[in-house]
Order: sequence, then structure tokens, then C-alpha cells
Amino acid sequence: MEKMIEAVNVSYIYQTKYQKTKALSEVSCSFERGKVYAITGKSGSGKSTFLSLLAGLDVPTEGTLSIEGQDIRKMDRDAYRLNRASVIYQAFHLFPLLTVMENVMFPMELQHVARKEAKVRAQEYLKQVDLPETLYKKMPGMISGGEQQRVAIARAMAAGGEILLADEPTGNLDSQNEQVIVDLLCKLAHEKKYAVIVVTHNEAVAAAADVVYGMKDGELSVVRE
Amino acid sequence: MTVIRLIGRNVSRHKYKSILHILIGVFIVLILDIYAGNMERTEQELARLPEALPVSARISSLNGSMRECLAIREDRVMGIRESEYVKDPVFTVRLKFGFGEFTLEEYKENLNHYGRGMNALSDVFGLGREQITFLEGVDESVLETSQKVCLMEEALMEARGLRRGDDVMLTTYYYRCAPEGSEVFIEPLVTDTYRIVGSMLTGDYRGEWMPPEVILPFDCVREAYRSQGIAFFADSGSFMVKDPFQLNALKAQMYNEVRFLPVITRALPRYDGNALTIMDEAFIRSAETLLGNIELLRRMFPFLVSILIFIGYLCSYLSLQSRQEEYALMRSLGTGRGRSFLLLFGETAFLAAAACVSGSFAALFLFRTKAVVLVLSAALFLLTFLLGTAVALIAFHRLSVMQVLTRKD
Amino acid sequence: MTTIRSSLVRLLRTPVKTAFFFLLLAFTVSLVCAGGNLWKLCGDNLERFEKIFTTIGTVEQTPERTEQEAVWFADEMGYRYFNRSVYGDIVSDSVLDFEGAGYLSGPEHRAYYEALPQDYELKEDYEGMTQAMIIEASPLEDCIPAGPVKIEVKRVLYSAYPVNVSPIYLCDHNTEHPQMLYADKTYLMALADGWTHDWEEKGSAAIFEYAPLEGPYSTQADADGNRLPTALTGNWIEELTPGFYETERGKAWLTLCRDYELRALYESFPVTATQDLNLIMAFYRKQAYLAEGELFSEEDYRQGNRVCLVPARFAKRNGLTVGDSLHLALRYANYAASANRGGGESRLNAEGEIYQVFEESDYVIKGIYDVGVASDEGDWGYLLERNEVFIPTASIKNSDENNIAAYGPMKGYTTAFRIPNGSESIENYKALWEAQGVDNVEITFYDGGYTRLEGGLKSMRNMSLILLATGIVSAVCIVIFFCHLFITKQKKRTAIERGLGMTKGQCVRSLLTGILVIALAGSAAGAFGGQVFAGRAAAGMEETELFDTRFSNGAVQLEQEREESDRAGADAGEESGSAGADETGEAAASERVYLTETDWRMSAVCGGGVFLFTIAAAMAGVCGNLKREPLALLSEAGK
Repeated sequence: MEKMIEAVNVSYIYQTKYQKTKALSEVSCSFERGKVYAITGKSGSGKSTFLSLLAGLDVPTEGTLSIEGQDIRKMDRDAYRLNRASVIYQAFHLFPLLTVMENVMFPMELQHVARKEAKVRAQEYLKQVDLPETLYKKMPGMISGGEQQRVAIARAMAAGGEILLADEPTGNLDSQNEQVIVDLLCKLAHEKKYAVIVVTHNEAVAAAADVVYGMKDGELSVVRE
Repeated sequence: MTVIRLIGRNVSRHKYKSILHILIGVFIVLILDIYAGNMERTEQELARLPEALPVSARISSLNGSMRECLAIREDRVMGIRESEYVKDPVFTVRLKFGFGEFTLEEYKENLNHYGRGMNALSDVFGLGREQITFLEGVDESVLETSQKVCLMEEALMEARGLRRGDDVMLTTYYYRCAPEGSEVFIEPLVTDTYRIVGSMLTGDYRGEWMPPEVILPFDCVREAYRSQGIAFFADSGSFMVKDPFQLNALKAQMYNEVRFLPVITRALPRYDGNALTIMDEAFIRSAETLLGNIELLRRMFPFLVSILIFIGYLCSYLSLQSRQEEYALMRSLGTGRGRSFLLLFGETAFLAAAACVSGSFAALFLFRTKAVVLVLSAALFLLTFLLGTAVALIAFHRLSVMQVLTRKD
Repeated sequence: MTTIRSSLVRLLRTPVKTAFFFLLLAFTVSLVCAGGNLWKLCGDNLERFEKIFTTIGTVEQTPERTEQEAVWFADEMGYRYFNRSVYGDIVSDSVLDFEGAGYLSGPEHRAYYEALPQDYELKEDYEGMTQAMIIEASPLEDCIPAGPVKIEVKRVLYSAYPVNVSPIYLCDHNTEHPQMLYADKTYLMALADGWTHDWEEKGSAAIFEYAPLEGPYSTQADADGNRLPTALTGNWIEELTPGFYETERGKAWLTLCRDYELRALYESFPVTATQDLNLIMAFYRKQAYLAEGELFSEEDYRQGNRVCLVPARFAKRNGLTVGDSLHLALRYANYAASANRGGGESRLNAEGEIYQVFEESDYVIKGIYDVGVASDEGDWGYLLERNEVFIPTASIKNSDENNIAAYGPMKGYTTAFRIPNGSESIENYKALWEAQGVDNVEITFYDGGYTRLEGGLKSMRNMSLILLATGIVSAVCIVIFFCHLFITKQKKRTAIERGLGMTKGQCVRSLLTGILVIALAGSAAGAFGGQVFAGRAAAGMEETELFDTRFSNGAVQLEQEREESDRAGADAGEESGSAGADETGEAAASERVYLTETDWRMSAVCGGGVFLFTIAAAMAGVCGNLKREPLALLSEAGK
């Protein structure tokens, strides 16, 4: 399989007012479509940081990060996140003032899809994540964590990209919902050929992944391939 | 940590917001102080207006052409003298004199001198204190009495070999206006002895009639009229308005009770002194402008205060709204309702107090605002600001801490 | 579009918070509008208040000394003494031209001009004409006219009205030792009636005597005030000799007769030229006031427009009204006195001839003024003469230098100037004047009480401005506070949106839409509310109790109610108090001199200003957020 994402000696330094922190140190790895990748590690190991770089939320301080051969630094990262990569978060980060349906429609509307069509497609995606119709008009604050995360996945699918990045997607869920989410992620990878990259310190999630990388003190190593 | 330290830490943590809070509070307090100060200053200017623009009044003929040689009825004279709105009334009555006693038939050779009854010297231009030398122990106030004294022209005294302090017998004639009001006759009044208490120089006299060679106290002349059973008329009159803010009452009194008329320029010329002119044009225009400004400020004040109250309330309320999670967190960590309330309320109170103090000091030193105004403005601001905080905090009490904390967005 | 719609949807879903933000902004705008309207209204009214006051200075040359002048009065058989000022060399009015004086108008040493009466009525119907005549007469017997003596009128060269009675009485009233008159001689004399020694006893039944007037004489001066040499001597009673009328003296008498034909005794038609009516004390003190039409404008003075101001009685007498034409033919100028004070000028020029008209034109009546009672005594010179017409100085195009009938030192009623209000202006002028070193000229300032009020006026003006400034600064702080609250809460939202791939521009639109809507609605509501409240407050000024203007100086009395006249008539016949018509006269309210209307443009400017500032502040906040990477925003947003 062709390499979707390739990181070569990627380093990232957090600079705050008071200190500099090297969150990533010469990380090299690659990611392919159709696979679920898990990046494990303790809190503060740099895995969320690496995920954010993969999402184009920032650029590496050193090294290169390529998306299908194109250096991320030279890309329109907004367009990248809009059309090709989606992120889901531990805290879900849905728009609190938009309904479930509107949250899922949002990325499509950004892509100038007509509202009607966006609604139809959103319904489709919500079905795919097994969300009951009764919840479509509810605000995120009125549904459970598991349901919110499924909406987040549906939103990610609605963006229509090839890459799904998940930062501790099951961190706030019970085991039942956790499994549901893991299954959805695997489905996205194996059936829809997404490159799914999950940052987690959950053993069960890592076990479901095709490839497991381990992050320790900013350095990445292969745990299982 | 003590409450105070916690409050201090919170204030410095939300530095930007705290500074904004204080600034808003300072300016709200300043606005209140400046506004009140502005109203006060305008009122002070208004109060000073009578002193800056004194208002005088003068009696004239109906068509306004004559200010002296009038026939002013006694009831009008008394009406002015007794009016509570009038001060420093000055009246004169013109007379003719002859020395010694003589009959009507002998008037031609004897009745050769002009005189005036006056109650003050200020009426006539060119006949003031500088032109008169009084006997020792006597001053102008002698004219306010009804004593039988007189002031005499120096040249006349010299010609008659008289000195200050001498007694002199004078036969007085008065001027009588014909009923039609257009003719004047002279009639005998009284013969009496008067003491010369002052001498005068009349070379600069600028009255409409002849310069007086003899001046008698006004009431002395009035009594002479009364003793002879003759209706008394003054020939000129003027006064100062005691309180120009009571002009309307004065004018109503002068019109309705004393029966004066405004000048009617197309009236026929007559000697009747029945018209009054009050020199109040500048005062009225000035006072009305200031009164208008004061009224404007007064009417805008409640509106302004309401706006400021709401702004203070809204600012504190909205500001606190954004700290719901912080409150929930404190509660979840075991801080009781009272202490949580105290912390947040205390923080707002501290900021509000700082604003009040700063704003009040600024108003005091820059604009010298009165203490009462400072205190009231500060109190009003504090009240409304803290009310907003209290309402927001009371709303917090009703919240479920758990729901706030588990709410992710 | 998506971003905007989505943004609006989110706004509407937090109605309470949105409402609060809207209210905050609306109140802030109202505050600024209130401050702005207040500042404008107060400022405008204070300006009008200032215009109530005018500062003028009158200039008077001080006499070298004062002499007592003894005047004989034949009816009193004695002298009366009057102080007479004796002046040295006339000080030129050019001493008032110095650098830094800061004149707003003047200085002017003004003249009044005697105009030809033509057909204008110069006296009221009920006024009798003073009989003046130039006659040849002889006494019935040798006599000294120290008291009334009978003289036979032989010939009338001029008389104001026909002489039907002869003999008449002559008394040289003000000469203690008059010349002897012989029955066999004929004398030429100018006489006026009006004197009697018996009027106090007999009133109108008394016999009137005639007193001599001056014969031909001249007081003509040049432009520098120097008397022109003349052969005219001004003899009062001249013996008539054969061939007298062929002599220069005789011709002068005949010329005098012709002048009397042109203008009767005591009938004058003075025209005063001025650069500024405020320099005329009667106008300055509002003794004279505009009854109809308008006063002169700046342009009238500057351009010398042929416009005039006429007295109300003169206008009524001659059936004139505003807009009518008045023909003015100016004969001679008097720089020595005002129209009411003078006289004193001769009828003939230095050559014994009648002054010819040097300026003749039609003037449009721009205004009609009336005269009330003078506020205080002052020299008669400050009062107005009854037929006195006013014209702009610049409207006289021809020079009067050959027609100056009298010239005298500067007096307060002929010489004045205007400077800006304020003690600073007066003190500055005084300092500069003292530096000129002119000792024998006195300047008196009149400011209507302004200096006593100016401190307060300045303070009020400053306060209004400070209030506005403080209001604006408060509004700035509040807007910044508002933006801070609004935008701070949106950091997470921005981060999510950026995470979803929205561009920076889209994020700005998304966020600003909400602020824009609130700001627009709030500003509009605030401006409207502010305007309404300010308008109501200003309208409330209308309810301010006005002063009653009955009896006021300056008030128009021309059109008085008939009941006033009736009451006046009824009153006059009574001994005491109440009039026949026992009506309470209604107070006349003064016309408001201050503004009571707000200007909607002020509210619009205030509202617009706050709106724009809000958007700018919000933009700054949003752009600040967008500079940060979403990652950093997300981490901050959790705080």
C-alpha cells in the first residue's frame, strides 16, 4: 500500500513564555490507508502533539511531514483539514449550540454542498454510526458521551477525507461505548480505506489496531506491526 | 489560603478583566460625579446672576418719554416702598422755594428757587455723595427720615450768608398736575423752619428738570402735604429688584396691586407717572438660558443614572457568568456555598471598591466635587455593581455542580 | 454563507446572553449619545448665552479744567451756575489705532448728520410748533428788555407760523444787562417763544414772551477739528441801518432766513452713521430695541448697504414700514455731540452760506426701533433724539470734510469701540492702552456683567466637554470589556472551526457575524433610545418657567392690547387704586433664547462611532486569536 503519511525525523518544540519543551524528537514513521494505527504512551509522552502535527494543526519544528508526498509545510493546511483529514477528540468538541444534525452537516456546508444534499448525507452518516433519529435534533449537551463521540465520527466522515485522527476517542466513555467506537474506527479503516490513527493509552483500543507505535519521551518506536 | 489572599490571587490572575472592571467603574463614578458637579456649578452660576446682573426699575410717563416731573400717586409710591420684592426705592418730589414767609401775591419776587424732596441721593446723575458736604455727624441717611432738615446749594448759601447748621425759614410750593394730566400748576404748600445739614454743588447735575437748590427729606415733604390735606404725588421714582428670581411675582404685584402699566409708546404724553420699566432684559435672557441648561441636566440625570446602573449591573453579571465552571470547580473541591459566594463576591466588591475610590479621588482632585456627591455616586455604583454580582451568584447556587463540570463545552 | 448562518443560529440559541450583550451595548451607546447631545445642547446654549453680552468701551477726552458758568435767568432775577468743561487741544481719535487692540468694531468717533426734512413729519400731531421768527421790530418805548417789554413787529422775514399779534413781548432772558432798545430805531432779531414769567401762576393762560436767538454765526470746522475762520459774529439783536441787507452781515441774515425755511427751529432730522449699533449706548443698554424688521448685518456695515433704522414714531407719523424707501439728503455733520445733546452747531457755514447737501440717496428701511425708558442717568448725550435715523457709516460715499458744522473732543456718546468679551480681553486692552501714554483720554468699559460670570461660563463649558470625554472613554472600556468577554468564550469555537478546516477568513466571518449583529442592533437601539431620551429631556426645557416680560426693557410695546390703553385712561382719572376695568393683565412670556431641540445627527454619529469601534475592537481580538495555532487555542480554551 502506498504511504499516505510519512514522517521523517520530525521534531517539535513547544515554546511558552517561560520555557521550551521538546515534545517530539526525530520521529520517523509512515501511515497507510486501510489500516488502524494506535500510538500509545504515557501522558506527556508527546503522542497528542504528534497527532496534532498529523492533523496539520501545526508544523514540525524540524524534519518533514508529507501527506501523499507533499510536505505539509507547503500545503494549505486548512484545506487539508477540510477535505482530507478529520480529527476527533477525547472531549468530543462538538458545537454546543448546533444540533447533532447541524454538527454533522457543518463540514459539508463548508465544502459548499447544498443544504438539502448535506442533510441527506448527514443522515446517512449518522445511520452509519448507529445514532437513532430521535437524537438528530438534540443539542450535544443533551446526549451521552458515547453518542457525542459517534456524532464526532459522523462529522469526520462527512468531511469526506481519507485520514481520521483520533485523540483518546474513548477516554471519556464506558467500556460498552468504547467498543462501539473502536468498531466504528476499524470499520472506517478496513471498509472505507481511511488511514485511521488513534492516540490512546487504552490497551483494548491498541489491541484492535493493525499497527501499534509507542511514544516515550517524544520518541516513537514500533511496538507491533 | 485566606479569603483575602484568594481574592488577591484571582484578581491578579484575571488581570486584564480586573483592570477593565476597575476602569469601567472609575469612569462610571466619574461620570456621576462630573454630572452632579456640572449641575451644581450651573446652579451656582444661576444663584450668582442677581449679583452679576442687578435689576433696576424706573417709573415713567405712559409713553416712556419722561422720567422726572411726573405725577406719581402716593398709593403707587407706597406700593413700591412696601413691596417685599423691592429694595432701595428712590423717590423725589419737586418743589419751589422762597426764603422767609410771603403771601401768594408776593410769590413773584420770592418764589425763585427750585428744590426737591428726596429719600436718597442715588437717583440723580451729577448729584451724589461727592457733591455734598454734610454737617458732622450727619450723612445721607438723614434723607430717609422726616426731620425738618435740608441740604442747600453752596452758591445760594453764600449769597444768603448761611452756613451749615443754621436754621432757615422756607416757604415751599408744590407742583400740581391738572386732572387731564397735561398741565402743571404750582401751589403753596407750607412755611416751616429747616436746619441746614449739608451743602451741595449742582454744577454737574444732569436731571431733566432744574438742578435743585434745596433738598428736603422725602417723608418730611409728604408730611407737609398731609398736614395741609393735599394729595401727595412724587415726581420720579426708581428701585432695585430685591430678588430677580421673583420677577414674576414682582411684576404681578406691580400690575395688579400697585396698578402700574408697561410703557405704551404710542400713548399721548401726560405727566402721570403710571408706567414702569424694569431693566431685566439681560438678566432674563441669562437666567432663562441657565435655567434651561439646569432643567436639561436634571431631566437627563435619571436617564443617565439608569444607563449607568444597567451598565454596572450587566458588566458585573456577564463577567461573572464566564466563571461558572470555576465556581463549580470550587464547589466540587469542597468549598462551601458561603465561602464560594464570598470569594467571588469579595473579588467583585474589591474591584468595585477600588473603582469607587479611584474615581472619587479623581473627581475630588480634578473637579473639587462635594463630599456628598462623591459618597452618593460611589454608593450608587457599588450598589448596582454588586447587585449584578449577587444576582449572578444566586443563579450559580441554583446550578448543579456536576452538570457544569461534566458539560464539556 | 454557511459560516454566517451558522453563526446567527448559534446567536439566537443563547437568547438571554445575546440579549444581555445587546443591552450592554445599547446602554453604552445611549450613554455616549446622551453625553454627546448634552454637550452639544449645553455648548450651543452657552454660546447663545455669551452672545447676550457685548463688551464696549467709550472714550472721553478729559477736560483740562472745569469752570463754573453763571447763566442769568431773568424770571429768577439771578444766576444759576453750571459746570462747564474746558478742553485743551482736541486729541485725535487716531490715538485709538494701535497694534493688538483686537477691535471687533470701531473705534469710531461718529457724527450725526442733519438731513433735510423734506416733506417728512418731524413732530406729532398734538405737538405745537415752536414759533421762531426773524423780524424787524421796534420797541414801543425806549426800554431795556431785562424783563418782558413790548415791541412792534414791522416786518417778518421768516416765521414758523403767521405772526398775527403785534405788539409782542420780548425779554432778553439770559442776559443780565441787555442793551438798551430805542423806540425810534428798528432792530433785526431772531426770536423764539416759549418763555414766560407767569406760567406757574397762570399756566396756559399766561402771556408768552419771545427771547432772542443767535443771529448768523458759524462753527464750521475742518476734518482735523480746527474752526474755520469766519466773519460771522452771531449778534443777537442788531440795529437795522439803511442798506444793511447789501452788506455781508445783512446777506447772512437773509441766508439764515432761508435756512429756517428749510428746517424749523427745534425740528431736526438727525442721521447717525455707525459701524456697529452696539456702540450706541441706547442700543447697548436695550433702551432702544428692535420693534420690527431687522438690525444691520455685518454685510450692511462692511459693504455700506443703503439701509436704515428708523424710530417707531417717525415711521408711524410718516406711514412708513419695513422695506419702504427713505430719502436722505445729508447737509452737515456734527462731530461734537450726539443728536440728542447737540445742537450747538451753527446753521451757516464759515462763508455765511447754507450747507449744501453732500450726500443724497434713497435708503431702504431695514428695521424700526422703539425707545423705552433709560436705565440710569447719564449724560443726555447717551439718549436718542426722537427722529434719529441710523445708517451704516460705509453707506456714506462722499466726504463730509467741507460740511463739518461742529467738531469737538471725543465724548462717550460719540466715540466707542467693541472688543471681545472677557476680563482677559479688557486687561489686555488696558495694558496696551496704558503703553500708548495718552493721559487725557479716559476709557470706560461696559460688559453687561460678563466678567462676573465668565469664570462660571468657562467652567460649565469645560464640564460639558469633560463629561462627553468621560462618557466616550467609558464606552471604550465597556466595548473592550464586551469584546473580551465575547471573544474569550469563542477561543474553543475558533479552535474547533480551524480544526475542521475553516480558513482564517471564514473564522473571522463566523465570529464577527455575531458581534456585528449585536453591535448593529445595540448601536441602533442605543442611538434611538439616546435620541428619544435626550429629546424628551430637551423638550422638558420647554416647561421651564419663563419670566414675565411685562415691564421689561427691550420688549416690543407697539402692538399693545386695547384694554391696556383703556385701563390707562381709566386709571388716570382716579384718585386711588382700582381701575374701572378690574382685569388682571396676563403675563407676557419671554421668547426662549435657548435651544430645545436635539440633533439626530449627534446620536447617529455616536451610535455609528461606537459600532465601528466595537467592530474594530472585535476584529483586533479575533485576529489575535487567529494568529495563534489552533493547538495553542485549544489548550488555552481549556483554561
